[in-house]
Amino acid sequence: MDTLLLEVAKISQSYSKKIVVNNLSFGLNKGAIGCLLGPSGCGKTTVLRCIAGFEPVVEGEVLLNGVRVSSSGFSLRPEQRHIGMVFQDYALFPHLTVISNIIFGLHYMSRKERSERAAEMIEIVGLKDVINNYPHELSGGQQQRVALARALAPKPDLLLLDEPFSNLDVNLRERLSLEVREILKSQGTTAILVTHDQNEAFAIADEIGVMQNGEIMQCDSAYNLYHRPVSRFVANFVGQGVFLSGKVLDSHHVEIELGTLELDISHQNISDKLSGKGRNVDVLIRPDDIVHDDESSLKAKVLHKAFRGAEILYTLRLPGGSTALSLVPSHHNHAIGEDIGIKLEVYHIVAFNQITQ
Amino acid sequence: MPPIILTGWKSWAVTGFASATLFFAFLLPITQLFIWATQTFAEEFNSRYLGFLWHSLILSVFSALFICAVSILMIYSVRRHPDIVPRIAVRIATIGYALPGVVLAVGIYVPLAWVDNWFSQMAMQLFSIETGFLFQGTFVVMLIAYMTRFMAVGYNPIDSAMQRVTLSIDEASMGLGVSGWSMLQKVHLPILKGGIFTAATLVFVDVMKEMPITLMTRPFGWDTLSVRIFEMTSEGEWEQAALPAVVLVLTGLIPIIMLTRQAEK
Repeated sequence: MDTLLLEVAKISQSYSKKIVVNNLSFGLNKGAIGCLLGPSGCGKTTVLRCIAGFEPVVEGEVLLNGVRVSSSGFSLRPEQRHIGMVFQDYALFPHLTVISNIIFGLHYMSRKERSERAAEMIEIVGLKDVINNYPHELSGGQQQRVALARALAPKPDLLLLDEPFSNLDVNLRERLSLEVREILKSQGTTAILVTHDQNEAFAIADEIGVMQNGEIMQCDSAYNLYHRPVSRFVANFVGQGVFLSGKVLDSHHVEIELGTLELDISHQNISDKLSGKGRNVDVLIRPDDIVHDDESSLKAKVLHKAFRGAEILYTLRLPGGSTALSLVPSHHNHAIGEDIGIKLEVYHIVAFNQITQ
Repeated sequence: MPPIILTGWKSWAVTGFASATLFFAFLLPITQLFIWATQTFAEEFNSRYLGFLWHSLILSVFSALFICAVSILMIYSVRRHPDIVPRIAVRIATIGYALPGVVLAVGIYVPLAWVDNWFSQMAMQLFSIETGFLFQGTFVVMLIAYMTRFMAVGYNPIDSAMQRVTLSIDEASMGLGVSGWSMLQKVHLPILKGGIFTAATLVFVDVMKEMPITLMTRPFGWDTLSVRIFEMTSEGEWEQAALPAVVLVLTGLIPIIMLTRQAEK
């Protein structure tokens, strides 16, 4: 019973000849939380603004519940789309109290319905103590909640969140992003988040589209983006890791300097990548692919270490001279310059053709 | 920086200095004005005086309204078209406040007189009509002259209030189904009204006190409080200038009271 709520079909947008969004398409099911993830300037916010109707599309079309809301030369007014938006700067009305901000979009309801819905929203976002305060009297986190409550109050078909946590400190960001996910899921809200922060994307979204130069490079779950990136850009942008050069032995084996890796047969789609016997490839090695093992005969020198509480991220020099990262439980504390035993535990082989100069 | 708390003779010295400034610069002259004003009240407070007051009020109120309206138009055009042209236009439009009033008065009077002369000559030659002066001494010209002078006074407070109405606030409002006039009414006006009120008050007081432009562009015999003060003082009749002067000083207190109240908030 997955029904497509939003369909973005081949949209393009450009500002004074610079193409910002290029022939971009994706869909979002009712109740799903999507995310556009990418570096700043990749066009993600522009896509959001096109969906909201704040900007027209030059080509392509946007369909909401199967109804065309944007296409070349046509744009349904934002106020007629029934889309809620949480802005990066929250855009709260400075002259209105918290409760009046939340009620603002409920003008079509009766007085009674209005106050009921507002009370409900106040309850959901936990702002009971400040309903009569003005936005400038609130903390950043509270303002964020007001913005969310105000956008959700009219029960929009789709909620758009534009870098909603970028003005908050890191601790609050993590806590609030999980909380926001829970609120959205409990309300059954379909939402799109735009962010440059992958942790935020992982915490909130069901499905993430990684963007670069106005195009979606890969649209997938967080797990797949991390473990099965389809391009070097996605592999580099999502998570950490290094590329080690290797040679394809056969359709299931690739040899790198640390030994031979065997492909897990369950991932047939990845085995496509391993075609071409004898081909030189770059293999992605994530920090969790290299496991610390004192017994191992394979040694690597510690170049750098970053303590992360539960884990330590070691930067290692491999015997062959390459550098790799390894995430090790924190009680294995080794000094810089020490040789430590390592073992490969690669479950997903991610290999790309070597770039020929 | 924490405030320094003075004790002993230092505290008296500082208090004394501040009080002396207040005394010599304000209390002493205003007392003198009050004394003169009461002495001459019976003689000066007549229908002519009410005429000065009325002219001053009418000019101040209308220029305050006019300048605020033009400021709002300018602010919205900059906001809708944020390119360089409207920005430069605003710069030029608000430059009048930096010029000395007398210079501006002459700058307005000379070309106006020239246009008037040209018009009446043409009318005389072509149609043998005696037009007299068409522009000089009209209310509209006075308003335009005040606008040239005081545009900045009206523009700046409204402009800084407008900074609070970010573009995303407009979009938030539209997204919530409130746009157009309804948005102006429910979002823009409430946020801007403080700034508009400040602007109107400041222009009101400034026009009330303005003298050279009024003197040169007013309709014949149309004296205002400030013109009256100028005329009396230039003849050395200090006592007779006192009553209108007191009124001007009291009007000038309005924005000070208002602004200190705002600062305390």
